[in-house]
Amino acid sequence: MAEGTSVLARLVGHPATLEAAFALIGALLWGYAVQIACDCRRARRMLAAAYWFTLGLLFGFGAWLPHWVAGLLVVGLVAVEAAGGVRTQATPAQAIPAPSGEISAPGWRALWPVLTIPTVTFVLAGLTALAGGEVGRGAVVGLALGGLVAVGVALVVGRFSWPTALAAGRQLTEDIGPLHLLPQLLASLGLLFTAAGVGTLLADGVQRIVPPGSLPGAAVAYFLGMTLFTALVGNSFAAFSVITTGIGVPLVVAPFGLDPALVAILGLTAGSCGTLCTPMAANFNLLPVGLYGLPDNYAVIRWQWRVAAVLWPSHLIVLGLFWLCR
Amino acid sequence: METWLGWPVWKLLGVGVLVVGLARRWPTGPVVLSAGGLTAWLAGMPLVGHQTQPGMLDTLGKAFVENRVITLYLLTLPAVGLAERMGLHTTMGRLMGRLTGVSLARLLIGFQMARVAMGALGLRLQGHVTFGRPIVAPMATAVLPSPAGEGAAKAAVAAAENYGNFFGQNLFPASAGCLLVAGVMKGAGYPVDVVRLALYAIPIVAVSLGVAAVQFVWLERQLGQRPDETADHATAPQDTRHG
Repeated sequence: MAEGTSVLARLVGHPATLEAAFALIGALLWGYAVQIACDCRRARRMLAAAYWFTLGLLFGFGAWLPHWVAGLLVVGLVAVEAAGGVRTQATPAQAIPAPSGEISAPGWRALWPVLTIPTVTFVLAGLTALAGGEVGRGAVVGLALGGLVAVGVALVVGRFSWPTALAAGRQLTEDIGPLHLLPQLLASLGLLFTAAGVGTLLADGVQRIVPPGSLPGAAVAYFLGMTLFTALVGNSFAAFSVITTGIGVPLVVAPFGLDPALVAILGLTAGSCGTLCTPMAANFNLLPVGLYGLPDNYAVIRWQWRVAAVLWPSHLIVLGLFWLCR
Repeated sequence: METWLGWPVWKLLGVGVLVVGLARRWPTGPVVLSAGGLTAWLAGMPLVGHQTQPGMLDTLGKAFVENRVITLYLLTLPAVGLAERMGLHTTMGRLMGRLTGVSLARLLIGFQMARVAMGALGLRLQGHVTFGRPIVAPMATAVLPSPAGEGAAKAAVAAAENYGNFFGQNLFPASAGCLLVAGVMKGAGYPVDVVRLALYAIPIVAVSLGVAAVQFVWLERQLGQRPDETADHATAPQDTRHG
């Protein structure tokens, strides 16, 4: 028993497991590409097929391609997007939705595949944790496995055929469209900004403005720096090391003798306030727009910035309360 | 001339391109790519790198390949699509019709709390794909008095997922965030304990739950108060709750 679970932990942690999942995504995207290429009713179908084929290539063989070739392929994908090759509006044939016709007797069985995904995710994450592996990794592999098992469940329960499964996935994937690329694109933009020294520039500028010896001033500078730089790079983790070593430690932690753990975690969540307000955090703020079918690109951000605006000053209050109760 | 070109603020031009492009709602991919290209060029990065210096295309390709895990949810989309063809939304509507006492605000608050609890247990996953689109969004639209508020309700579901995910994950001491903070602080000469970090994260989690709850209750009032007014703008008249 104990041996079996440790095998599981090793299996989940093995890099080949994730590569296999990526290869599956690649195969799925190639399936979409073939379906699109065969759909004669579509305008510009070859451009769209080439788009999904290239994305599949990046997923399936990304680890073996030289980085600059992968970069060149990404530039090509963005060029197709700029040319309007992947807009679903360009495909009037898609306007006839299949779903309503296929619901003969709506029942609870529609819930099965949908509940399978989180169940498998949790079970695998839990088992991985018990086996001494990394929970997060277990959840990631579980999500991939859950998607596969759920397709199997749906195929059996709904008596669908393989091409229907492919078409259902393709429709959702195309609804989200070029937004799929954005999180990865923005991750590299964050790297470029950091490599170009945008963060240190920001930190230097702030250091010059803040009056020395004022805790409120220093705290505002640190939290504001975190929020702004996070909004720029879309990720509070990327902003954290730059702004904390540039502003947080020299201006807030070192001179005032505050608990470094408190200052640091508040800095990180001040960054999260920035994440709530920026389209740069594409997988959180723009992906749902496509996924939920919202009419406005910034619908989620429009909703979140108000909460962020209240949450941000409460960081100062929490810091102040701890300072007073010291 | 040399000093003028060496002025460090030029590096912010890429940021400017990004802000203007996104504000004008130009296509996001090209905007991001040109902002990145401009920044890389101003920073003196070559197009294709060599041993001593990474190039712009290398950075782009490397980041893309290394971050494929963000897009892992693509594997779950066929199952979600099939469930929707089996009538998932109608089923959710019937489920919500049976559960009395579940209002929009309670649903959203409960979802956010569930995501905070998952974060505290160390489970990080693409909640928009696993819960938001297939489970919570259909539940949220099913309890609406009229379909006019669907967009707002779905955006609120997305927001609840983000609030719960962002702030809840810091409650887990071995989360990526806590480990990163501990690593950076150690490097700066102020070693901190990850458990202490998780404990100090509690106040902000509490505030985020409270502020979001106020927002969700406000939304519920907004959507519930004027059903007659909004019914005129409805595009799809059928209400799944009574369907």
